[in-house]
Amino acid sequence: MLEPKIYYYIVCHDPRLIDECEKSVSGKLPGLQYVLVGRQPYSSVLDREKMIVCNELSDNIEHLPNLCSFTAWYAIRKNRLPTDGYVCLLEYDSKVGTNFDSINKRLLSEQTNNRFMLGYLKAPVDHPVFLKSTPWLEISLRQELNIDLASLVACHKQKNPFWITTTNVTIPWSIFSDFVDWYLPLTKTFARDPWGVFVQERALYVYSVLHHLEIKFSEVQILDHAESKSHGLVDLYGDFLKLRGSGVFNHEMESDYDVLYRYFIETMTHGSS
Amino acid sequence: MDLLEFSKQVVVPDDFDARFYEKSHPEVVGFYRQGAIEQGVSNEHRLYFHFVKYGRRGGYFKNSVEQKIVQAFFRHRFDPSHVAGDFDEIFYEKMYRESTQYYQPFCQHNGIQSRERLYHHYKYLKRLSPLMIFKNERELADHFRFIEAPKVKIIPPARLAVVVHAYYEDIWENELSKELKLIDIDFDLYVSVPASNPELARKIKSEFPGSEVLLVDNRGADILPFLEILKGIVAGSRAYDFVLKLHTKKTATGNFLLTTYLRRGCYRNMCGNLGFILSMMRGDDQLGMVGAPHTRIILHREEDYANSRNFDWVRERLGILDDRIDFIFGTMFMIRFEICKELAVGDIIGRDIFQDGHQPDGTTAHAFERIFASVVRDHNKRIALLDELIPIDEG
Repeated sequence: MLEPKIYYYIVCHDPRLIDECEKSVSGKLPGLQYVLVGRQPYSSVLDREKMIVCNELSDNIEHLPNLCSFTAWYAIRKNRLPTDGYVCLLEYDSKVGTNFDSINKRLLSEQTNNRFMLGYLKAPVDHPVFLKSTPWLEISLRQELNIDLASLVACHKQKNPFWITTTNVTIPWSIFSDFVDWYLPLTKTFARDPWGVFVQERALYVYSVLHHLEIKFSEVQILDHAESKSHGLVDLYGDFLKLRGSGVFNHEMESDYDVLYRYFIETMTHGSS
Repeated sequence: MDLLEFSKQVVVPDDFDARFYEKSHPEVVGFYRQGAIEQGVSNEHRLYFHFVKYGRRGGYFKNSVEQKIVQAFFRHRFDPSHVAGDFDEIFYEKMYRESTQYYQPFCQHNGIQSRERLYHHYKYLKRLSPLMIFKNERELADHFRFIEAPKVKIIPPARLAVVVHAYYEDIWENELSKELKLIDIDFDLYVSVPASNPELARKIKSEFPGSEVLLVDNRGADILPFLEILKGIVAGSRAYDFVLKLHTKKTATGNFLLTTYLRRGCYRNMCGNLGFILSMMRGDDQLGMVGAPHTRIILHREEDYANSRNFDWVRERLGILDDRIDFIFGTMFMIRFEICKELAVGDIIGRDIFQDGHQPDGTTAHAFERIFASVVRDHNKRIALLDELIPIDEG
């Protein structure tokens, strides 16, 4: 049986982080390329062949500054960098195990069809971190697709109780390219707001359930995410926890957080921020 | 929907505290008051109508619990202790006008001072484009500071034309003419001056006796006069190796501070390092154009500022193939004469394509700002900024 063909990409917004990242993944991801987003000048010790600079590609969305990973996804899709196999997209602050590639290939070989997304980190979908991390998920789904987020989750949580946290995924090329095309119109609602960046990983779940894809997870931990947040972005949920001086969300906070979240939903829907 | 229809169709939600709303926002007391009484609309409905129509988008609160939670959140988010001591909010708001609106209604209703709000905006922009965001005037001045290149001899000597559009007399007198007088290399000076100011033309002639001064209409900003001067040079069968293009750049509608420091930075860096620039261009045939530090900009075609429609129109008219919007902004640069003279040949550029008077961005003249770089690339030459050419001091 043929080995699955995987195109590995690590998305990075700061060129200074690439050399550091290369040290930690060196040799673990065959054919790995770094996808640089943002408009910072770069001077990496890396070969230029290992670098994709989105701003240099003919079709890019660097003019929409708050989309981070999606800027790389878009560039890969629209410039048709690969056009087959599987696309494995990782964030720069992810640590992969030495066996990442072999386990990844085994997991892909086990799939009976190409209607899936493979994630490495999961969390329950019926939780404020998914539902209310950013007002833009709810707003964009309602405005662009006429979908009520809470009802959608209520309807699918039994069959698909977990979402892929972070944008570390491996996806068949055809699904990947279709996701990019599906997601792009949503971004017009939030592309210019810092909280817009938190929509993409959650939208993967929404896309999966709407398109009847299976959401698969690696049963062994082969990836760890450091959440460096070197881009300085914190979602509404994270900011709220900071305000409360707590690392975890508890039930006493729920009603207060809901008031805050609704306040933003209503004011942002009215078009002011 | 008017108030009466609203009152019939909309149920006031339980969490809307009409008494709180009226007390917290005194300006709503008189809102549709008489009309509501006459139409038999309840006070609750009247106030909720205001909330839905104006209050929510202005960041108003619907009850005291919401107010308490949201205000605590905003106080945390815009914590004054996070603001850097050297952040100058007056400078910042002048520089980045869009910051005036940033979270404005939210902050206004949550007791957040402008300083904290604007600093939050600064942090946000700094993340997006770290190279051009400044928190005080000192940082801006430093960004466009004079960078001294090594002193070198130009062998063989270069034939240089300095082409200036002197629209603003004060800038000519106080800045540009002084910089030109400090140049210790031979050059021919060509200056275009608005026809409405012959006195300035006379002044320039007496300051720089060998110069050629051309009176021009106020049309096509600094671009059309530049092309007309080039045309004159070509028609007179004069030839140069290089052309330094400068102008008395100023803005009435744009960012005054940025323009001021950019202009001074261009003058000092280009005129003060002229020998070095010419020698680098002499020694490297591939170098087609050189700009002052920090003046290169690469834009996506979809961006408002890209001016891609005009850019493509001019490109098509001139038969320019390169379509990248990657240029030296401010239109002050050194360029090879053999490249730019092509723009002055025949009648490919008619006066009719340029607009009259001062125009904000988006005109044919602004498209030309982008075109010069494309012409250079069409000649398979590269563009560099002065600081990229200076060797790194290993010591």
